[in-house]
Amino acid sequence: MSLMFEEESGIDEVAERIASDDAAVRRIAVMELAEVSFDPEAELLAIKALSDADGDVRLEAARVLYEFDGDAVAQALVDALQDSEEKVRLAAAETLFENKDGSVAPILIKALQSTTDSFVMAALLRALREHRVAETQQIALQGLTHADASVRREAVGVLAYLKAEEVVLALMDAARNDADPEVRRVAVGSLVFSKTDKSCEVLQGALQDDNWQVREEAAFVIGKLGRQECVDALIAAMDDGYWEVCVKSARSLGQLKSRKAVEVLGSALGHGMSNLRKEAAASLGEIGDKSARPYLLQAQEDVDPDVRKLVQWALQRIG
Amino acid sequence: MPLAYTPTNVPVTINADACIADKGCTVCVDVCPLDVLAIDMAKGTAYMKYDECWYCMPCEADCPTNAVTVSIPYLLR
Amino acid sequence: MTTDNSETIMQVDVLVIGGGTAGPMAAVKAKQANPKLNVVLLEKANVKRSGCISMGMDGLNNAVIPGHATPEQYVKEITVANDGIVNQKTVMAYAQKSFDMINLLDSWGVKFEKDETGDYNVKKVHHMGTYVLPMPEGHHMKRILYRQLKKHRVKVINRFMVTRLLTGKHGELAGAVLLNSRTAEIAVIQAKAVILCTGAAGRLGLPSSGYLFGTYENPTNAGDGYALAYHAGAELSGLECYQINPLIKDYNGPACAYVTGPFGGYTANAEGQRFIECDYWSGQMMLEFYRELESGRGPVFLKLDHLAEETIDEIEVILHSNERPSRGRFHERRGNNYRERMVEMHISEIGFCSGHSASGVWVDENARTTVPGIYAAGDLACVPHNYMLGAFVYGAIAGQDAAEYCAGHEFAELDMQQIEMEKARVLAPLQRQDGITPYQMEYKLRRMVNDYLQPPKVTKKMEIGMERFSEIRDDLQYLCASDPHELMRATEMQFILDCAEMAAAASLYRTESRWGLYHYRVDYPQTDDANWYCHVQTIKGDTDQPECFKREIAPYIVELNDEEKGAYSKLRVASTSA
Repeated sequence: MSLMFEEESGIDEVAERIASDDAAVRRIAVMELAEVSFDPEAELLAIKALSDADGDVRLEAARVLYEFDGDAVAQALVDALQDSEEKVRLAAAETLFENKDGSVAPILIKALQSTTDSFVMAALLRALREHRVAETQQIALQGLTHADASVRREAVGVLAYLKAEEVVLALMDAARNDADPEVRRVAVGSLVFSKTDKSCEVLQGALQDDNWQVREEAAFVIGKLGRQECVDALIAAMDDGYWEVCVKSARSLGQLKSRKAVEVLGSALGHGMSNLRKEAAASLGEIGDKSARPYLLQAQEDVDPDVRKLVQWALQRIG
Repeated sequence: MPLAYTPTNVPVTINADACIADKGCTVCVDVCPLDVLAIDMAKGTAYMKYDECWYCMPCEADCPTNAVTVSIPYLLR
Repeated sequence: MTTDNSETIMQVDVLVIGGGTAGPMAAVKAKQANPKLNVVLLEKANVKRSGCISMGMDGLNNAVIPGHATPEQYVKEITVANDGIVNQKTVMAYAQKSFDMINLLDSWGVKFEKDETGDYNVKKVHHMGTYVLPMPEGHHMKRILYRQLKKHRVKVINRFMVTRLLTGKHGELAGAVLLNSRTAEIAVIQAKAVILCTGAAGRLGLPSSGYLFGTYENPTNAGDGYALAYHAGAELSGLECYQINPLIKDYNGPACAYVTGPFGGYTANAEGQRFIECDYWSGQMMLEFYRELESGRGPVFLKLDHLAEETIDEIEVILHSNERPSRGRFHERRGNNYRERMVEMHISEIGFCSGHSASGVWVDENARTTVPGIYAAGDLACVPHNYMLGAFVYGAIAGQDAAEYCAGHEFAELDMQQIEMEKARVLAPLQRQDGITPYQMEYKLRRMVNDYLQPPKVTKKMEIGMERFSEIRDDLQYLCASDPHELMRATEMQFILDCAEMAAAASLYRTESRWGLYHYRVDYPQTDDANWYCHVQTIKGDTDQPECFKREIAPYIVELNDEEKGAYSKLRVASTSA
């Protein structure tokens, strides 16, 4: 018989191996459920395998459930978040996160309301983020004050994706006061959706955060929001010890078209890091003020072709 | 035009203790884009049969028991 | 092994050849267009991990996203990057469908980089308009595609390669002859439409390591589709516009400097300075790279050692978990640490790849080749600088169009004599007890490709190369394979030989220089728009040799203004100033 017409292993054959006494045989059979995922029987077998005695079999079951949709699958994965073995818990969390089916959100929310375990909470919040359902808002707000930083980080994520103006104050609070720098950074980044001018003060404060990545994020957000009130703070940030922060500040000063920034950007054309020189030249071009000419003329012979090109471009724009 | 065979050091190695090919696993063999791995039926483990490796790593990444190690082929190291 | 054709002939509506990137998308879209169609996805390896993105991809470099770039801007940029030689309609079709495709992939679960509120985080790299959308968790790509294949009930056949397409009485597609790489079984598929998604011709030149499979491209991409289209009578285009890529020396895989760009990484000379003037990933950029490599300031490096620890951590996660994860292992062994020193770079061997340059099977904006019923999508279809997202877009276009084509066409009759001849040709090496192995023949062929076809191109050298290729063709009567696996290699080796001959013919035909290093002819150093502002097409001639002819460039649908043309001519001046 021709190989081409050979059928893939049928569900009955896989089911037989899943009933084996040998855990390794069961494990391989569970993996093969991916090939027959269109068979309703396969889903039942995969869910059942999540309560196998062997941790490796449960691990493969948590992974293979990625191929299936629906409430029963979601509930089984939620339960697996409390598996006795960490690898199974992590795999279940990953599969829940990968699942794009928004219809399972009520199951996740219900589970979230009835748990106190911080790993489970963080995993569920993360899985709910992309579903963007309004019902998550309240519970995420509560998560902002959780003792565990990973829960707070995922709670900020949920709120940021919801883009709801009424939670901006809470996000601003997290951006300013959270003890964890990653939570502060994400919270600062989340402020790009909000039209409120109240965020100005928070963003200026974030430009002086102890963590450079928070400062970098703040410089970026200010430019994206077009916050003219923050120009002085950005100019001050051009003295930051991390050139990465200066690059983002230079970029934002260009976006804000701030004439006040010409001097500090002009000086940046002499910085040792060409990434910053590049950004400074581009921003001087965008600002378009004639007072930038002397700086740009001096930078025409920069060793870096990218800087030279942007200097030329800026000079043409200024005219 | 008779043929001779020249031995060569292969980049993909299998930890025989961890390999579960004897239980029916063929994951590494299945995922190799160049089809260079095979199962040694007598030993019950996978092995590299042809030295034609792109060091692309699915065999290592997908092995359920971490039995596969991909090294960079000697000529490239 | 069976010799009775009646047992092995299978009838399908749409046969998709190649299960990498474009192929799964084409199959899913054909099935969506008409769920009743019998759609088969054929893969030489296994669709779970096949093609050049078997380990995922770390970013899009041609995302046309509203608010960041317009389709018109994109078409202009590609026109400039490809020295004016483009069928703009094909590029426009990509550009207009690019954003919908990103959203579709996003809804399937592909992870693009987003800002903290879930909006795409597009990074600006060039000032004219190309945009990078990173995919820091892009390693799940194949799993996501596989799930969609299962969901849409596409029939997948692994471990079969197509050796020839079959044509009907009027030159239209009739089917395909298949070879199983594990059993040497020959099978025949009668099909209404075929979609070629076989990727680049990546095993054309020999990597400098001499390791046959240590190529830049996935070495399963031996140029199958180029040869299949050629023998079926289709037009190929721009084969003189080779693909040559910057890479990590010896490792011979991408350094992905463009991925590190938004983080502040760049390609530098030995003095640690940027040297690339060109804004576009193009032959011009490769010429600048090549010159620096050969200069006193060479060789060339990927420079990251000026970046902050946290930034390098982030870059390492992306570069060492996506696309070519063994990069990290290579660096470890060499003692390369991005934090402490620059990583030596080099340029790749030559290949065909329209996804990165412009050498491909000619298609129109519906992904149709010049043979009725044959479609092409992905790296082998001549839509310049299409990359991964273009493979998805053109896969979708081809799948939909092929489904419509099936509705209006009957199966073409199979020619049994054609099939018998093909069976005899393919199986011959297996029947020889001894002779020359496919590895020896391939090594010699590809070494000759390096010696005689690699730019800078010299007329006399290419002519000598043609002679050597013809001698190797004479040696095919000694080609022997000891098992089905070797028979697959022997069959691929013959595809590579077809590609080498086409590369030489097209390069000799275009008597000018264009596309920077890609077609830099030392004895015709000038770009000659008066005679060569046109496509060069290659087809199989009456004497079974490649024949070339000119094809006019269709009127532009997006005109370039003077400033933009300035950018274009500046590139041309630079490309011929050697």
